Amino acid sequence: MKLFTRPKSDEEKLIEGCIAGKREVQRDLYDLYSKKMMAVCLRYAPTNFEAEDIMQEGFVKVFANIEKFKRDCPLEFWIRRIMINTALKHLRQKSLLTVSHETEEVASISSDSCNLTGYSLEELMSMIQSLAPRYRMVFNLYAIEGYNHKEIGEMMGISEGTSKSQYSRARVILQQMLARQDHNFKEHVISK
Amino acid sequence: MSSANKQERGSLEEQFRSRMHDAEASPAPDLWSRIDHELTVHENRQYKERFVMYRQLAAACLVLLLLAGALVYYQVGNQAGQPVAATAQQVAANANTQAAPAEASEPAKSSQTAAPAGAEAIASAQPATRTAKPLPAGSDSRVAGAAPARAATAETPKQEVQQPYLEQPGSTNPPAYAATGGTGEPAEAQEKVQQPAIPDTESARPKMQSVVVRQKLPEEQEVLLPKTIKELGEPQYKTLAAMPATDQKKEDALQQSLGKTAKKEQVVASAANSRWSVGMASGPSYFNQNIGLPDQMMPAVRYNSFATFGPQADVSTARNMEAAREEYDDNTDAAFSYGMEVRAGFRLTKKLKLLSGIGFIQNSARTKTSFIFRQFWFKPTTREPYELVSTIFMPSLTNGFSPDSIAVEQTSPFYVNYQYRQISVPLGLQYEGKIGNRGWRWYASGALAANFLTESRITTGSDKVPSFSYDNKEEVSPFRKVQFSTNIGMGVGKQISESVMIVAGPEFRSYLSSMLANPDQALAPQGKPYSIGVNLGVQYLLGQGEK
Repeated sequence: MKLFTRPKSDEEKLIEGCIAGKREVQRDLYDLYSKKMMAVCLRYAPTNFEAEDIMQEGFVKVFANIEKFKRDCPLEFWIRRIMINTALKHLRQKSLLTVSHETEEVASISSDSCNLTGYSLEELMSMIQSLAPRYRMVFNLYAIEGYNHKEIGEMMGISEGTSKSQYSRARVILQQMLARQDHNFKEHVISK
Repeated sequence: MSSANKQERGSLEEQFRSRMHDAEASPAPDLWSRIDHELTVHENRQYKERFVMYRQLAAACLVLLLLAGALVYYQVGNQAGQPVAATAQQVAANANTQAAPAEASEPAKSSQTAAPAGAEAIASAQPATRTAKPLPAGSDSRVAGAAPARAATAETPKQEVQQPYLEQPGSTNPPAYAATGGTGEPAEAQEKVQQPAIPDTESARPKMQSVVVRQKLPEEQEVLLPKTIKELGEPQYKTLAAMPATDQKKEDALQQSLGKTAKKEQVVASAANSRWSVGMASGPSYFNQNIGLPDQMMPAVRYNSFATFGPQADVSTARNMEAAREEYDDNTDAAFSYGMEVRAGFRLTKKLKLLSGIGFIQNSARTKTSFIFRQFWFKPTTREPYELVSTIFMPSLTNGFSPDSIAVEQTSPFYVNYQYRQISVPLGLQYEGKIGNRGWRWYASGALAANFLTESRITTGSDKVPSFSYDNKEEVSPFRKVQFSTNIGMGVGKQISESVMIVAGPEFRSYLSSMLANPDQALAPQGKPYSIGVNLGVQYLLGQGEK
């Protein structure tokens, strides 16, 4: 018999309540992570409508599979991974991730001295959303989630080299967007 | 977080990461209610699936119970129809414990007709014992025991003949019975008969001992006992022959009375009475799925002429499709398949056994292919468009080719495995016989089985082609849910103990229908699958060793 048992953390209580199928606990878990996960889904989906679809499917998967959560990482990381996988599945179903041989040449920008402090979160989000699906996916996974190109290749079913080339294109496009925004802003200030 | 290479990251990545990674956004207010609704639907579906599974399990149990009930009813009916045989068996079973009282009762019943031995005989023995008078000094117990027996012989020959079967080694009666022979004795000898059953008096003991000494002389007994039967005369022997016991049994009974193999014979008798056996069998097999792929789809795709309508695939795609189909025909082989079965057997006759049980079968086949099919398709249930990446096998089953979007890519060869898991419920007969006297047996069996498909999977050895399971509710399985098969087997068995036997032999399972549920719509001839395997099993005979 254990005389001293470690008090259960809130996260453990949440997990156990969700495994038991208690709807009010599931609601608590949703309330705790919904805002962060909505931001994740928005980054991967082209529209808010599709982001909500991804999030809905993702949370259903979370509740249906939470007994499989091994607790070897934070719950938030596990839920985030489910959301990313759901987004990948959505894009794959729409055949937006098929590898095509891009022929368009994107002018590279060597400057790495971008400053994002003047941009709001909504502006940055809309820039990412405006990327082509496969660029958006690679950029999110590499720049924001922190995966390497090998892992991204495995997740998306593409080669490491393809991942790298798509990322560099995405990066250039974003830089161009930022440069254009800067230019517009400066013109606006000068006209004033 | 992953093992990302931080060195490649510039300030752009770091700034995006710091701003976006932990960003928050408010979802739509009704999103939770949508999730709640979907969770409820999901739970209901799970409940329904569980309910269906339990219902099927209950139905299977009911069928097995009915089967067992029918067998028990059949067995009881058989026993009721053979009263004489049953009586003989009862007599044999009670021989050891009731020999003395049965004999003691004979004088009391001497004026009645013969009745089965047993409790009734014991009951009737009590008053007779109470009325017995003390044995006169110097009287011979052998004579005392023999007199009433002979008296009974005169009037109830059947019961008299049964006496040798009832004798127990160590009892004073057999030698006494034998020694007296057929010489007549006055009726008043009834008074003496009870004394051997109560050998308490000092006068009786020396006599008893002398009798025991005589019992230990088998040569003398062997001479005496047949003589006794001979002396019983022809009518008695006829009565014995009229009984279901054979001459061999008579010999056995005589030997039993001599105390040589009494215990062993009881075990054998118990085994002979045992009808039930249980067993387990397992073994690998060769499985031919016999699924044909249609050729009819190809010309419509292959020839891009003015006579055809609608979108057309290019010529290389059509050629690759044709090559993939030929590859399927040439490179489809059996993969490792196996089955496991738990069986219950019920012996109908000496050599014929009714078998039933439940088993699990995994049939597998595989194809070595080098073509990957990509096309846009719609999910059958939701009509949702998606890119289907597969080999030729899966879309061919449902004629699922989309000529306007199909692309066939040739890659390095890889294997495609087809796995079909089934629950099997067989019902059959097994005929068996002995080979020599060293415990070897042969058997031949035939059964009809209902095979319930529980899972069908297509797995591939290529990273580009995802594995596929028809358990996914979004897909409609083209395979037949229930398939009947005839199972034919034969082989040999070796009895390794009184109750355990191991068996081995080939088994052929021929399915009575094709794998596809709608072979007429498949546009290709569909064969019936079959499997050839080895059956390795063990049987346990219930009731063996019971006393």
